[in-house]
Amino acid sequence: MPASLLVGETLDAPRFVSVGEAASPQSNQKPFDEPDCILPALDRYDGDANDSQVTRRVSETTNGQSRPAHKISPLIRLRGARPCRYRQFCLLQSWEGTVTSKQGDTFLARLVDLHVRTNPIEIAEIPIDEIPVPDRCLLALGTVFYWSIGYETKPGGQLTRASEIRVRRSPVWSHRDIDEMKARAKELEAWLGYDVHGDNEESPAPAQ
Amino acid sequence: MTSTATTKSRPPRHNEIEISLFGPGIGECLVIHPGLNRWMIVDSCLNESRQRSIALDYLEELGVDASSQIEWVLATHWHDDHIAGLAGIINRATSAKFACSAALRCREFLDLVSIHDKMLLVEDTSGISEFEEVIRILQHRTHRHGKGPDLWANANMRILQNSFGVEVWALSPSAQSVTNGLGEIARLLPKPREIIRRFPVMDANDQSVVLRIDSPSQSFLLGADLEIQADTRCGWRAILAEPHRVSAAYKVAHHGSPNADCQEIWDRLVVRDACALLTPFAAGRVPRPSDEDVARLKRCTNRLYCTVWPSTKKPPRRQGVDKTMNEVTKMRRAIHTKSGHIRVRAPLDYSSDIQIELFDGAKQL
Repeated sequence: MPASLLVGETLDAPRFVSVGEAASPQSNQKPFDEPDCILPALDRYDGDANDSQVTRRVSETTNGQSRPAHKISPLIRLRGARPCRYRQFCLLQSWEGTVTSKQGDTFLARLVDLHVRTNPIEIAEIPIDEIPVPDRCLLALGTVFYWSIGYETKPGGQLTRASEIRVRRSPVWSHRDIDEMKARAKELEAWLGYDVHGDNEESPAPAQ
Repeated sequence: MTSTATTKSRPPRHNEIEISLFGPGIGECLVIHPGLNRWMIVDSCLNESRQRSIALDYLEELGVDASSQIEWVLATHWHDDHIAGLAGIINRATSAKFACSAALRCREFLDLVSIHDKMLLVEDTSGISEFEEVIRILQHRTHRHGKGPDLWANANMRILQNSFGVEVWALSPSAQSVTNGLGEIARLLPKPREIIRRFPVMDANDQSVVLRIDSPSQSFLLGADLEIQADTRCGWRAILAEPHRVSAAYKVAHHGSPNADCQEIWDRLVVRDACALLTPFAAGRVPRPSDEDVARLKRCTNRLYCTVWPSTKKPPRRQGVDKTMNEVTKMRRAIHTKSGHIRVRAPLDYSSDIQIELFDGAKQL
């Protein structure tokens, strides 16, 4: 039974403690001086609280008397970085990809480096399994996707390398878009000045 | 045979024909001097920094005035790897005429060009956007005669003729290929409620413009990306159905791919042991030319040259990124943009000498 378990009071400085060690050199509390004492239960740990202000409630002893407030040191405390609460992603590299062909359970894509534009274009064959399930129905020739590689930090501090492929959600062609397209094509045809299917000034057949 | 930088910047003589082939890992470009200090550019690809057409860089190096000395600019087909930077060339070559495949002469292609604004959703645009830019530039030119492309090239059409007797002929697309192209382009047109996507690569190779340059002494065949089709009225079979002059040099079609090659081309359209020029294509599932392609081509000629052998070097990445990429992908390959250069020069007299020069990593296979 660790004698350093203290009750009720605000803790000023967390530190590592071992079983039997007194929390404070000045403490004159004798360990286990009450044969019927019950270990105070750490019923809640507030991780968001300031480390110097961790408080504890304790249960009463069997004889119904409340204990005076004492400091509580945590059993184990990691010094240094605090665990993050949310998932974090540190991007290392990303590409814009375009699907150029599909064959079986893989597709071929053309990748453009979004970080260093002078890097050469890369061609990659990627298994369809790498695409999130909801996006797989969107895969077709010409589909655009974004591939990101980086380090993911999970809540709790675990660091892993992560690869994410997201298919771009593009709008659909509307009737208005098609009508504008046809109107513009008609202008181009008029600018060409003759029927698009008209004749060139043909040259004679080549000499053999 | 590998030449130095000092010889590279030596322009051709006015009575000397030149065919320069550029090809990085994706795309190709031909810069042709048919004589008389006039130039023709066929297709376009970008330089290493992907900022400008390689053709403009080369002509600038030779001291050629792009605004007055470029006579023709031709797009063999509208795949984005063959016309990247074409709008920049048109913009500079203010006195040049523009020619493209007759298969694009249809309302459906104008429809495709007209919807470019919607396609600005993506970083990496397609050949359609390049064509749209070309048309926009042509529209703003008021001093030119006529409007739009000056020539819609199809089979058996002469594009250029000069006083040295040099002629440039289009051998394709055939009439049937043009008709087939209408249907294929129409299938690409968006329909209401379809998701807006980047245009997929259409199989436009059947509508490619194959050229033959005839000088008084010899001919040069430029195969574009034309393929062998089952229909004898389309592709190479349509060309082989007619007699043609044999050529001393051949720009191998479709990066040496087997679907664009047959023994008949070598037997009937080019001389024995002709100079064969090749550009790589690294953007497909199988990079071209593959080792099998090279072995097959070397059975037809001992003089096979490639602008650059695709590098397998990947761009530098952080260790974690590289590791993750290897875990996620089954295959990945970088397409390097540094282009090699093969230059063919021959006098325009009745001599049959051909000089081959290799620059910037081009090599004989």
